[in-house]
Amino acid sequence: MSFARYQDGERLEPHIVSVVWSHHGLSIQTAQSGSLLTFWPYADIREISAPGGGEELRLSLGHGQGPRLILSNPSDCIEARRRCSELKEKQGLEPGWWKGYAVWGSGAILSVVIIFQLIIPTLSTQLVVFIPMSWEQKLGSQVEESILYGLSKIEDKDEASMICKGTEGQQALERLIAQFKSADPDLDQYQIKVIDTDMANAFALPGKRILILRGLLDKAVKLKQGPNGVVGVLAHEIGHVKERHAMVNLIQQTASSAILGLVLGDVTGGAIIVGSGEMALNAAYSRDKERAADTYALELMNKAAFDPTELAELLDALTNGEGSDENNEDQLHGETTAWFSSHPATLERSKLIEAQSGIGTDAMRTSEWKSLTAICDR
Amino acid sequence: MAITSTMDGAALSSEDANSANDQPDYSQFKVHVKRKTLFWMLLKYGFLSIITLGIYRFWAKTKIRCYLWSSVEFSGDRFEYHGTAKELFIGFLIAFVVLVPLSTVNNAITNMLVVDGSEALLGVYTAAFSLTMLVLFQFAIYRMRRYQLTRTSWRSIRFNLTGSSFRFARISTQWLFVVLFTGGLAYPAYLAWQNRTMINNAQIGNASFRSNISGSLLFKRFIGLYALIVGSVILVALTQNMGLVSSFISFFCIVSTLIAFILFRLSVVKTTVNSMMVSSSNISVSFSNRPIIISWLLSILSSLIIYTVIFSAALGLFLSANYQLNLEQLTDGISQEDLVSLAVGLGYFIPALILAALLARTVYLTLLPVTLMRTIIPGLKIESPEELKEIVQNSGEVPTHGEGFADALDVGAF
Repeated sequence: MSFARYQDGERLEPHIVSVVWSHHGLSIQTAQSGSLLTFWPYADIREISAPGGGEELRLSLGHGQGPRLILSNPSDCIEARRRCSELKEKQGLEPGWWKGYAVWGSGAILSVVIIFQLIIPTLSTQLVVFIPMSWEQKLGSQVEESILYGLSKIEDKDEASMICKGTEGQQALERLIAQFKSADPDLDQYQIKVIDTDMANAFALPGKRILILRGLLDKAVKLKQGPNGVVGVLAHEIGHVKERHAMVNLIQQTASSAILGLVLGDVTGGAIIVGSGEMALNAAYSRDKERAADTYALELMNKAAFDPTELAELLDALTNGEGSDENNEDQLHGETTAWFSSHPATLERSKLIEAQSGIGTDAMRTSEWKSLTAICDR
Repeated sequence: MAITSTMDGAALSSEDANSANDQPDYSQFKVHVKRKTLFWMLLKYGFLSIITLGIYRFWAKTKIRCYLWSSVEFSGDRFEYHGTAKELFIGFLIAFVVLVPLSTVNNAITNMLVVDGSEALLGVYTAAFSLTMLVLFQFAIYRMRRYQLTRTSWRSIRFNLTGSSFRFARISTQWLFVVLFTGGLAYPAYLAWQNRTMINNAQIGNASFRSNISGSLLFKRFIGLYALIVGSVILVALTQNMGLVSSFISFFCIVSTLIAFILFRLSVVKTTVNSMMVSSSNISVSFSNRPIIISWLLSILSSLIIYTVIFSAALGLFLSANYQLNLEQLTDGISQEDLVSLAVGLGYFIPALILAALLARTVYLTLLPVTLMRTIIPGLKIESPEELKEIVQNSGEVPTHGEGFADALDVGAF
């Protein structure tokens, strides 16, 4: 006769029981009176593993919470292993197990898609209206300072000398803006600065600030272009400023980083994964804004009766690396990369511009264009 | 084969009864956790959590808890964990809905105030938001404990935690203000209140746990730690311009304060447990602090060494063999070849960083928590275990979903 402990799931005190291995299943009976406590079919008996379990075998009826039978007699343990063929069977999937995951999982995916595709872009565009312009101007001034500081370190110059101050060049820019204003009366007053660096790029900053890097002017000259390529780029940046894209970006970035951080919880390396995810998301948001700025630039050029052909050529040159001399290949790649990083030019974009090409005139007189290209000369 | 039957109603001999009943020893707690098993579990599940962008962590947490719970034995029977990954996952989704808008709005407002430069306003806002997070954090802790207890059983009898999470969060936060305004001196009273509340609301089956812990019981130990912290701050301030000596003193002060803090927390564990009762039976604990302090130092050192070695090796390889970046190249621009090279370099540098973090964390969690379990749990004792025999199953309500807020707010390692 052998005995075991049976925990019935109702009382804490275990029953001392005897176990009877019958043909169909296991009868668990009170040791004292022999009355039947319960009957477990062999097919439903499962082992509950526990580290360092020793000689004992812990059994349950099915998986989950409920009664437990603890066999400590070695012959009972052998008998249980012999008769209960599904002792180690893992918990199977109940019919319809997938429904919860499907509903909640789809809901989660859907909510993430809605958050990233709809709520963040829409909300950020709406919220930006409530951000005071004075605050945006302060931010713009800080961003400009940090860009100038970075470029001055690369160029090994002091920050003050990074801003090109050629009077005639500035006048040419002012006259251009006046022309744009007459084409689009909604335009505000912008601070446009040309920065003395070899890189070919242009930035729209918060607070109605636009920076043109001298390398962009040099590139147009190298391509023997007139002013319209650079003016097209400027119109594109005005498009960003008008839509307050820099501020929209800021709201989108803070929202997306918060959400990614929560999704990942405390997973090891989560910060790195969040960083990569943010970059991918922001690149996606950025492409939409580039398209919007392109569309605006073309409309503005069209209204001002400026021919956008040279913008397409300038974009092509920056994308394909034309117009470089052999000795300056590295520099060309540098320019291409710089332009790409903030303006992902595509074939689609060039085609859009080319479709409107050939209509209109030069945006500046030849003398004005010369003054602008020489704005950094001292 | 022992085909046994008592169908004939034969009386059980006292020897036989003893052979089945000789295991229960109500005074004995044992721990069967194995570091090697836990190490591979943590490494495997950590890796799976990373490659699934965190989704696997709910399954990982559940499996680790099942293993840890079942490795603790009392009176010959193991504890069991019954939580499921699905419950944790759904709990997380619920927390997500609340925390996403909160976090997004906070980031936007903070950025706005930082740039606006109104420091006073930023200070007020930061304080208000920190307070909200503090309440939420306390709320998360209580909810996590409730979930864990309702998913824990011993001898098929479930534990429970009654009481309101909101009330706990509100009063805990009020206590934190008292701690702040008393310069930290009320910290023992705050800890005593939290422990007392949780214990008084805890149950196994229909039996309640009770605690009579008070701040005064913890204060004597705390005042030593307090004096050490104040002394360290003064010493570091007085010696701050003494070069290498300053660094040495700062390091010494930080390490000794941390050790003193751990010793204080261990004394809180002892005092709390020694003031506890379950049903009408007293609970006590007795253990040595030394293995815990040694294990803490070892776990910190080994995880730091592992992280530093892998990080340095990856960085060295990245910089020397793959990509040579300098300012001159930046001025001239980065060529396409350089970009490809950079991408390849980052392709193994970033995974190496993640691997370093994963290994360091795994080693840390394999060392310290296991020592804590092996040192503290066998020292527990229930003084009148026969009182427990009358306990019956708890019929209270059980939360239907897991500890979402605790997960999102990173409360608790396991």
